Amino acid sequence: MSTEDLERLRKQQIALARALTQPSNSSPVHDPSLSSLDLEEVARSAETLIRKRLSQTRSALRGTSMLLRDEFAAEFREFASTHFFSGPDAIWRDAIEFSRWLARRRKEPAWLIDLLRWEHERCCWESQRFYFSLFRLRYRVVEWIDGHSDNSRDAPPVRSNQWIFVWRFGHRGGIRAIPRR
Amino acid sequence: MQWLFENPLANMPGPAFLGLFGALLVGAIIILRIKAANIEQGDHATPLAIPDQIDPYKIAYLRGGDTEVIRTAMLDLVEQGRIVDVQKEGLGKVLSQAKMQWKVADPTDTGADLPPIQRAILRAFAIPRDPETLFQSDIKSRVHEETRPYREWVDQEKLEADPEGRLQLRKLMIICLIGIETLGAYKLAAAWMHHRSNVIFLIGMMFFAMIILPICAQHRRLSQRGKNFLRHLQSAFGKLRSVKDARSKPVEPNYAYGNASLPLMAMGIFGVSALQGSSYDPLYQSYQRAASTSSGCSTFTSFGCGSSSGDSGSSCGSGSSCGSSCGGGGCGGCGGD
Amino acid sequence: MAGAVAVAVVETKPVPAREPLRSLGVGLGYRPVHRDEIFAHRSSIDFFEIVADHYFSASPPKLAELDLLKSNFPLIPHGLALSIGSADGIDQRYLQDFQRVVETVQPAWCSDHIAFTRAGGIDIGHLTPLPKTAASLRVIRDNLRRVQDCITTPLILENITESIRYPEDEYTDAEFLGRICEENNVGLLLDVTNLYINSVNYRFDALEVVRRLPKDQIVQLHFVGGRMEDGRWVDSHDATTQDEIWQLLEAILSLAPVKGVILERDEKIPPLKDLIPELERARDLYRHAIPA
Repeated sequence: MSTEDLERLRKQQIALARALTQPSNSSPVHDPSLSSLDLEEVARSAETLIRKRLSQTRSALRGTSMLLRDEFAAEFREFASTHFFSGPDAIWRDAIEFSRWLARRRKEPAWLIDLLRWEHERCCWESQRFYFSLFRLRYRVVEWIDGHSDNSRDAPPVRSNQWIFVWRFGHRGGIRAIPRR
Repeated sequence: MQWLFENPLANMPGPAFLGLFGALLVGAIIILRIKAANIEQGDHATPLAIPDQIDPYKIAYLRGGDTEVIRTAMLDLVEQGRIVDVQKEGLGKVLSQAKMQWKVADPTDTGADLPPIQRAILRAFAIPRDPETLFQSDIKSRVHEETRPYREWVDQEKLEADPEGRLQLRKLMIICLIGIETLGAYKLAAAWMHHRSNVIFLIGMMFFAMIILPICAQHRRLSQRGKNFLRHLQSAFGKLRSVKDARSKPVEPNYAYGNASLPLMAMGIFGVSALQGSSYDPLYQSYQRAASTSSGCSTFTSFGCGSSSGDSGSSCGSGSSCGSSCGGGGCGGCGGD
Repeated sequence: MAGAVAVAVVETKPVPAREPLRSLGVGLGYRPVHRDEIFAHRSSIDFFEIVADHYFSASPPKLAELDLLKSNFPLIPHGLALSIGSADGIDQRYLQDFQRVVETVQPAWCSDHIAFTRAGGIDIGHLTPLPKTAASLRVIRDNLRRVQDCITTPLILENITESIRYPEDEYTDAEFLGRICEENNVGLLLDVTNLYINSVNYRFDALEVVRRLPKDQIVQLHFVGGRMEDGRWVDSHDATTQDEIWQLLEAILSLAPVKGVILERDEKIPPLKDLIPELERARDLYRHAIPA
């Protein structure tokens, strides 16, 4: 076993990491380090990783996931093929960036954008030690918890505008809705 | 006697003396707080494990002494239907709203089959009364005798602050207070002898010392070990924080340890606040003014408990880059679609 | 004299001898959703395996949870991203965080995986298998040395499902796992489900692999149910344990003096009471095979 073997292993690992995490950007076919591998297996592993990310993002954006159902998966796959986040907060960044990406992409209905905004802010609040935000929602957002809520696609009833105040300082924080009189 | 008021201390300029007095006061505060912290810490490093069988009365005693034992026994009797709230009509109802009254359901019930604590309480409700009046009656002294096994358990497991240490702390506080006040009084006398009248700051500091030193000598009733044990219990049985919510869950774990029911366990571990909104809410209302609630998530709104990543049930595991799921975070799994 | 042979002497740190580990019994991978239920079923749980990563830079509630668990149960920290097979080396920050959790818990042993999760600055977020080559063994050895310099608690390593197989493999599964254990004096966390899945997907005899392993170094087992998808077994960790996996588990218990068995349910997590039958069945097998 020589130094070249070690170097070869290192290059193979880097190429594999790229192929798994950025499948649309890197092509295993052209990377000599991966030439010996079964490309179907590599593709399957990349798919497993996307499914894992999808599952985790569903949990973070539960309301949006329950409302959009299969569309959520399709949208996320498109997002995941061009976005990958590394590091210990990768899970949160997936949720935060995806919610932002989806809101920009969808633009309507307005209550969905509100829901995405709400879930985006909640993820930021949960994942960051220091965070502050004040934003307005046109529709009242109902937290979907344990599947007890109405799963229909109808928009929640229109309520008066409300401001949401989100703050976090270290391990203390809060989320408050300020209803308009 | 000249030396009594002609010495460096008596002749010390006012600002300098105030600085010295302040420094001594701060020193006394620090010493008292350190002593109080040492008492609370105790000398038992190993945490007390949650036992397999939990006696709600024992935990109630740990939480709040005889008072909480009486409240728990009251719930026990209400649960058994032996004590009921008094139903009043018309003006009587309006008048009794301010103080809810309870009485025995069956006037002939002597409680002969009950343990001593419950029996004493049952008999106290032979005439309708407000539950809070129990604490002013001789019931408390009778209950105190019966709670000796709980006291022994608390002493044995060192769950309360060391009584010897508490006594020493009190003595230390008195010594510090006497010392500081004497020093201040001496300086006041010296100022008077020297015909100086700008002593308002010194008097203010002396009053401040009289207030702050006893406060600094306060300590928790429970030792660190006791506090941790109670905290662990409340964490382990978090679902019992609200009897109403615990009962509404479709999957209810079996919390009947020994002969204790869910509400009794909830009462023992969390106190009357656990009864709010449940079918025992009238009892909660009766005790509301004196209820000691557990902290819960009071800082946060109903949107969430303010935990950082990984704590809330719907969020992702923190820093789990290889986790198979948000709730699990184990090492396998392929993710769902 | 025809020629001379130059011998290079490479000094390596002596591998620390392992002390016998105590037997922990049968337990469960701890999941926060079960926190309110564990004390109602504690007689069925001998110990918990906690995901160490969940307690890195933990909030006070999370630390309180850890304090509650370690005060009442033996705990085994299980890492997810030590990346022992990474040619780039061990992530120092992860190692320090892992060490902190181990020091807090004071476990009988700790564990991670025979895999890499990091390469070229990219965090894959998934356990990726290694080629079974001498180069991999060398990388694992070097990384383990660094870990063992930092963490004195015995570390055991888990086999993973092999989503990718390397044609350049120089060793069989048994040889590779055996060499890792023997050359580095580390224990093995044998994931029965992963072994079974690999054996079905790549058509080899799982029990034969176990027979060729250094049995004394199989410290702990994992088991859980998987599922079939597109004709392949998948380590979904989301189902009740299948009969074939039970059979393999039973056979392994009769061969190896295992110290602990963990039910590792990761997804579609049911209420704790629904997992008790599996725990009890595992306990029956464990008691039958491992004398007290």
